[in-house]
Amino acid sequence: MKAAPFDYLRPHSVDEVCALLAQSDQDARIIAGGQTLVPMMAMRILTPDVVIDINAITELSRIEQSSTHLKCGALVRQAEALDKLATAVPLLSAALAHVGHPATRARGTLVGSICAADPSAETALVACVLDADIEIASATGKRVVGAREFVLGPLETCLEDHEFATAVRFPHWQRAAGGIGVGFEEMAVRHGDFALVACAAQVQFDRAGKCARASLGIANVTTTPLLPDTTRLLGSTLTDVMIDEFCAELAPLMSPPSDHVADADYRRRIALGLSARALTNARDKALAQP
Amino acid sequence: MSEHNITLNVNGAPHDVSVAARQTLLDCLRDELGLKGAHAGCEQGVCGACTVLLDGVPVRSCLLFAVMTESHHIRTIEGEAGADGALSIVQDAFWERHGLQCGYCTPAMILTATALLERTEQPTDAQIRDALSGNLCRCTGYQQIVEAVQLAAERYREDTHA
Repeated sequence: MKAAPFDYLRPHSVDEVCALLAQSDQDARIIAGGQTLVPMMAMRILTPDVVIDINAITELSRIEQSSTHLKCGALVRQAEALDKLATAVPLLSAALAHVGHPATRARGTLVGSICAADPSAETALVACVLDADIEIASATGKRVVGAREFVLGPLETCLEDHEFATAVRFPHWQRAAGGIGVGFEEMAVRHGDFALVACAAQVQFDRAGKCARASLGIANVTTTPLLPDTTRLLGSTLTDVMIDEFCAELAPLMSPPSDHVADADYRRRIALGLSARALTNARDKALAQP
Repeated sequence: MSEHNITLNVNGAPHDVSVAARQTLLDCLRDELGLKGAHAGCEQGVCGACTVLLDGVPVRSCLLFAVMTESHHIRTIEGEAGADGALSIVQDAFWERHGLQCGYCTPAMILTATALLERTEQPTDAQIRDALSGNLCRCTGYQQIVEAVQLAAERYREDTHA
């Protein structure tokens, strides 16, 4: 359970990281929190030749609010986001309470978790549900990719070898349009462990009490987050019956894994129940907004 | 593969060590510095037995490469007792409430509890359990660990208000 030998580098700027990634034909990995990377290296699932430590690049620690979105740099720790973003991005804050444990959240980062793209990862799920954008830098320039296009499969993202993810941006839902509510539900063997199934929902109701916007995602029933089309819920009052019917129809879209913890059928049943609960809680919170 | 000469600040004192890049903080503390209090459990970040304090915050020493920790203050269990050997408030409470049996999880439990009490004056039962949720214990069933932390919290209050 020890990592294979590697070269360790600690650059001091984003440009330096990009240069290192561009010039090297060796297998290089970025380390920020290391809470996903180091276990994989210890188990020798990953054996990079080079590890690039970005922890000295202070600009990546910034959290920046704008009128359209909240941006978190690649070094923003899960613990800090859990603490500080409860008002700005409530769905993220709700999800982070289920991500690992205090000691892993102290080092683990939001961007790192999204880049790991574990099928059960809560952060990647929330990023997809909220249509977050991932900012990517390389020696050839910068680009922005939506979370739904960024996460391609288990442990796979659209990042090319010479690129690195520098920030995640969560777009705001405009509060003037009506009350916003979130719901997050997860089942895990121990609180904080990998989710068997996780469900994230955010809804907005207009002043007439009709659902104006709804976003739902379920993790670990498909290899990337299941993000069903919620169009038919819009304009409704989102009754309990509607929610149950909507969630029941998600079953054929799911192909959950079976393992020693839970089989596919069990996960499917939990997913249907928890997604309904997440939507219901989101609805109730949205309607309770003044 | 890279080797690094680094200076680690451990329990308030500087230590010069030479480490391979791949050597974790856990292995460096145990093998280079002879500080055996941090324990190897799962070496994946799940069990918590390796927990030390980095700038006052509990972290998994098995998931940090030693070379990454140069500019930080590291606290291990060996630094908790007073210079005269007097147990810290939390250590003493663990003794009094029998919050340990085999002791394997104990240094990590004590450090995690200490970090909690240093930033939260009157932690609720739920906050204590949440703070310790990342530390597994196979012996005690946790109840006496929680009682030890509750007792320590009371004594912290008396200590600061004395």
